[in-house]
Amino acid sequence: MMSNLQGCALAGAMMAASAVALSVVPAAAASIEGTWKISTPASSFTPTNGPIPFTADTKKDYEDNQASLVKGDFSFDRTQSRCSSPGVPRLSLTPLPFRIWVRPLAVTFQYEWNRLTRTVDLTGRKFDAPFAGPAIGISQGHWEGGALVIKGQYFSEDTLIDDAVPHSDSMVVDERLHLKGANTLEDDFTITDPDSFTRPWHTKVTYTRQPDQAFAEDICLDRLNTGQMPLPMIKR
Amino acid sequence: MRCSSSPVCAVTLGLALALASTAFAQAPPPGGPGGPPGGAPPAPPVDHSFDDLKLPPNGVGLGGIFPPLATPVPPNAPQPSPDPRNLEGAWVHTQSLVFSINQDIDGIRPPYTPRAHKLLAKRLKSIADSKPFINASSTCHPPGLPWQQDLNFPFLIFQSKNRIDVLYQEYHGLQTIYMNPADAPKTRSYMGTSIGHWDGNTLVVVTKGMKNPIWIDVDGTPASANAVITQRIRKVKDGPWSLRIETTLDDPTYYTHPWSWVRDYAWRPEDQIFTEYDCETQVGDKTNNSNAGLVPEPPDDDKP
Repeated sequence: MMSNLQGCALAGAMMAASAVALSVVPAAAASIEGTWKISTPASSFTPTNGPIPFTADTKKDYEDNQASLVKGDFSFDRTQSRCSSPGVPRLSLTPLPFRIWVRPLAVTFQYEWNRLTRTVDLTGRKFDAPFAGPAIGISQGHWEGGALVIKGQYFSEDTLIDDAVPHSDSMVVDERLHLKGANTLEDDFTITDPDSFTRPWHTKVTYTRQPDQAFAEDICLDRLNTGQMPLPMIKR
Repeated sequence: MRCSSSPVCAVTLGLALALASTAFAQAPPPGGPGGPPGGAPPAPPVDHSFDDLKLPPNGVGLGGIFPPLATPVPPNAPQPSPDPRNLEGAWVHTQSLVFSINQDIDGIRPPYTPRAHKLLAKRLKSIADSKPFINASSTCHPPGLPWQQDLNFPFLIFQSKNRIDVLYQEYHGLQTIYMNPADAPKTRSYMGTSIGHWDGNTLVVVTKGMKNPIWIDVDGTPASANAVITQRIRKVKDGPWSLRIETTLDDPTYYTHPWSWVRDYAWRPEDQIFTEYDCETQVGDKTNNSNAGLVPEPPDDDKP
């Protein structure tokens, strides 16, 4: 049987559509492959460099969202009201396990939550800004030792950063995904969005390694249609 | 007749035709000594029993025609593993979108039961009347096999020791193939439960236990919730790499005997970078008519 890192034989050094160098996966990076789950469930991010530096307009939107949450009105939140993708970075708060597949061209995040995926492109190819950004944006990454360094951009502005924090389509999310031990994975986020925040702000999420097992068929719309919340509500 | 691959089938069929032609040439000629009466031989009987279905040509549906995927992968692109049992990578259907699977591997009409005949006629009429029925696709639910594979969107295969995960871009679908039957869930699901084993270098996957009846294609060719779908999957190097999947549908509810067809999927390394597929934003919006003009289908009394 093949090693998981040998999924593609590196017979060529070029990508199909454009001439780009293939990523070389460091041996240490293989360790982040596996099944993970958020260590401390949360609905929102806790900033690590002071309070979230909202601009005035964004602060008002945030406060409106908070007021709606208190009333149980989720119409401002497409994930809670429609099961739309939480997008990046909110996907990292989903309560179910996710799997990371490390391959030379890409790192794929496979979430049990509503069967979503997110792919980090390691090819270094150029992307034009899409007409309408996806919830997960476009993520490009490279390896720095055993850490996966990701730059995410071109996001839809229709998602939230967490259960209440809005952002614009100018948001850029920089991540550094690295092991903190054999069974602990940390994702350090830097969120930059001059249209929404007065400076970049940082946060992080820690995951615990899970036994490798198949994911259940999670259908968010079935949960929503039977009165369950797409994502659990956990107090700040 | 069942074939393990379409080229083999073509060769077999060619041989059969050649033999038939030889046999005919050796028979006494019409009107000759010992031969049948002169004049044109009687035409074979024509089966008109499905004329009312107005089935489109195989591979073309009432919904229209999609162009085949096309640009070949350059020779310097990353190649699949040479290990024939390593199916990892991104694959995309090589053919035009098949709206209607209405020929088997030998080009013969599927063996519809009267119940299937009636149901399919109803579905085709609903499309012709511009009032198509609601189906799994329109409600943003996993459509099951083989519809999930036949769309012109990529799927990704990841292999582990006891499991093969197949991730589909469209509907953000997931098919888990359990290589150890003891690991498989006992409950029904939209995609059914898939159990696999190796037959030489061919992966044999048996899928059953669907939660609901499924449509095997866009036009609504039916399969019951109790259908058994067997797929023989192998990597083929016939010029470019492809994945060849022979599907056999065994479903006495709708077909008088099992029938099979073959599809090829091209190796597309660049397509492992999925683009987002989001149907929930529209379907989950309760302020709009989320059925988008589709109408509920009358029940066919086919619940498990």
